[in-house]
Amino acid sequence: MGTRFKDILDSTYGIRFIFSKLNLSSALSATLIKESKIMTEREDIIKAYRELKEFSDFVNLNQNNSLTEKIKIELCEIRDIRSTLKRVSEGSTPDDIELFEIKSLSMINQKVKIFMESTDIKCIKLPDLEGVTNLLDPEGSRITSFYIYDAYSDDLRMVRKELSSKKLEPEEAIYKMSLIEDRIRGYISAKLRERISDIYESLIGLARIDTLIAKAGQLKELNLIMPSQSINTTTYSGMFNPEVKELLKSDGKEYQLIDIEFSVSEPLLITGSNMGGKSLTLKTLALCQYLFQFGFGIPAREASIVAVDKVFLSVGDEQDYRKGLSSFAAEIKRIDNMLSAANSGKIILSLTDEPAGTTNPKEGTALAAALLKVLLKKRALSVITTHYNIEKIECKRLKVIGFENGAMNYKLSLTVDNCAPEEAIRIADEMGANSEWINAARAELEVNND
Amino acid sequence: MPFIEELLNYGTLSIAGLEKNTGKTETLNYILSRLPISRIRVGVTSTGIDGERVDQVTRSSKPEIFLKEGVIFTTSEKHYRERKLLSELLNISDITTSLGRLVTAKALSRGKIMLSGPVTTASLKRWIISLKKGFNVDLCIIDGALSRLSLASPAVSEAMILATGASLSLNIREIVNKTAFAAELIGLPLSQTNDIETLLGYDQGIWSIGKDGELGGPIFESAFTMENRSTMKMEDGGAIYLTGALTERFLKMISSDAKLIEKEIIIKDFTRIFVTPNLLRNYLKKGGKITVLQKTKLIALTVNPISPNGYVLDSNRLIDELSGRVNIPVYDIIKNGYKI
Repeated sequence: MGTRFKDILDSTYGIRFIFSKLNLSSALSATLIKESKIMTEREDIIKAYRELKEFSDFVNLNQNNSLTEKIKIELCEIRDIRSTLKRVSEGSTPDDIELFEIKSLSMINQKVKIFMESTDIKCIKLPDLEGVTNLLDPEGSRITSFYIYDAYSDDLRMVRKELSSKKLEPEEAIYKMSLIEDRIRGYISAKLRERISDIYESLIGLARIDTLIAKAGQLKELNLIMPSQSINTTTYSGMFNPEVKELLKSDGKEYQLIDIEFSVSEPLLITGSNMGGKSLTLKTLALCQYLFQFGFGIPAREASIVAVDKVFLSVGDEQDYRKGLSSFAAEIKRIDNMLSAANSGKIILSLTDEPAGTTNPKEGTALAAALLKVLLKKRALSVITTHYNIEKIECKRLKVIGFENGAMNYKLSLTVDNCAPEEAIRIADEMGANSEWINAARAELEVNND
Repeated sequence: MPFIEELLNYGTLSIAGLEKNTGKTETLNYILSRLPISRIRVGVTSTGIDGERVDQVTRSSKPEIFLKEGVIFTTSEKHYRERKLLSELLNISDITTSLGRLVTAKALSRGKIMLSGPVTTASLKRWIISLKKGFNVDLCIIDGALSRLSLASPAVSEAMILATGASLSLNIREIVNKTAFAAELIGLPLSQTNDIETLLGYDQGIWSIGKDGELGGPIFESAFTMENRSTMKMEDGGAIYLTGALTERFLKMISSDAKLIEKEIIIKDFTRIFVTPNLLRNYLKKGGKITVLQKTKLIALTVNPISPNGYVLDSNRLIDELSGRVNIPVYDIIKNGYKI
């Protein structure tokens, strides 16, 4: 079962932020995005970005602003009438309210269709619903309103005349009218049933236009880019976390962009001091991977990404106390799940923050080193952070630059040094932690080193 | 024809009953049948809770409204499907009630419809705006409820007609007292505060407003949690804004404190007052001041002298005594033969 967008919406890596920044016109589009499944096929992702590119080329040109606005205003009126369409297709006769819904949809479709045809966007073709509009607007007034119009039948016109001229008792007239109206509704619903797949296509097409306009607008608003596909190596240059970037910006601070590259079957080990942004980097990698496989813009200057079957993120703050698991047990379970997926022949993205980091350093180091060793043989893109000294394992290594000239440098640099940095006490001191404690810790360290 | 001409001066009108069976529906039907629909565009809806108007067991107490051709109305999907008139559907709103979404339509023939509209004050306001802007309606009529169970306050309308009668009491003096008190409440002055919309936006707590209009608080979550009175010793002057109800207990506490009595009490509208007439009048006599953020003008009273269990009061005496107490016109629509 593929991951659906709504499954990851409230994850800790910030999908909700991206979603909330999506300027959608219709609630239907939001529903459809939430229901959408992750794309794992290369072709699907290529197609999604080709479409996004077409929309971006149009939406992000200033001269098209007013046309985009016009389209968006029409799309505001799109309602989720899938259940109405389903009912009609299953043979039930729609009432006035449902016919009104179908009529307004077909009228919006016709307007948006004309707007879209004046653009260079070719990837979405709306069906022609002129016939449906005519069926539901027999008097040709092209106003979004509905009732069983007189124009449907002369009999009906006659009865209504008699009703208004009071020739007939109201009760009787209403009864006679309802018989004729029911007959007409039956006729309309039979006609609609012939076009139901077109109407459904229109509804979905309009929601896709809405979604793509919003995604394209977001590229500009959040400074996102369209990534390229890669078979073997995922590369980000200038990657950032949009939510954290915005938070920092409101504090007058700047986000330090990250460059990172990792390949299938070649785990990447990140070391670095505490507070060096390692966990955030892993979360941002998870975010980017999902954005990629749901066809959103990517927060980076450049990106080339490998599509995976599944993403595994193991970060300590996801301890699930409701299941009664300790942080260690929860972590072991997460890593175990990840390894069994890797063993099933799927290609996975495995992001592990400080594996076995909560246990004793001797066994912890062994577990972390072993994880790297095991992942080396799998079809996995793996990124692991650690504080342990893992010396003899062949893997790519990056190090957070860390404290530099009195400020934290979050950039990652290639390292040949196999030792994890020892900066914990200094950082705690900088944070203004209790000096009695810190000094005692320094003394302990000296005793141990001697 | 009483008060119809005066109605044309207003953009919104609510019709509220002091009790059930005070003839509110008759009053509404009377107005709807007399308004010059050809000259002005009229829109109508109903607030009030569903249980009040739909008796699911007897199906008898549901009042149906009689509409003329051309009137715009808003009701729920359920009641729209049960309509007994020809109408053109104009809009389906996103607002949902327990009876489905709200739909707005135009009557194309005369006939009956059951109305069930917005259930909160905010959605009632949105309804007024959408009818005025979307369908050029000149006069929006709200079939309102004056029940403490109703969340949608009829006080958002510019004008109001209040229906009263024998269902309140079989004692004419008591009807007059109760009705006069309601009229007094409706007549409470409008607050002079600058930022009425901001204050209306707050839903919880009791707020203090300084002499220069600065807002502090909420100083209490509600009047119920207000045990420690000493914290009420704020600066002199200014006002206290109650987002919820003005209760007996709160007013008694304010009345008994010479310093607090100088403060103006601001409430959302007259429907938020739940105190006895004596207490309120004493407070006002002592120099207390109560103002509202939303004020409606009471333009007429209608009376129904027939009680639900069949007693009939002397209509003329009822009208005379009421007229003597309140300074607005009083009518018995049914007796005076304004047949619908």
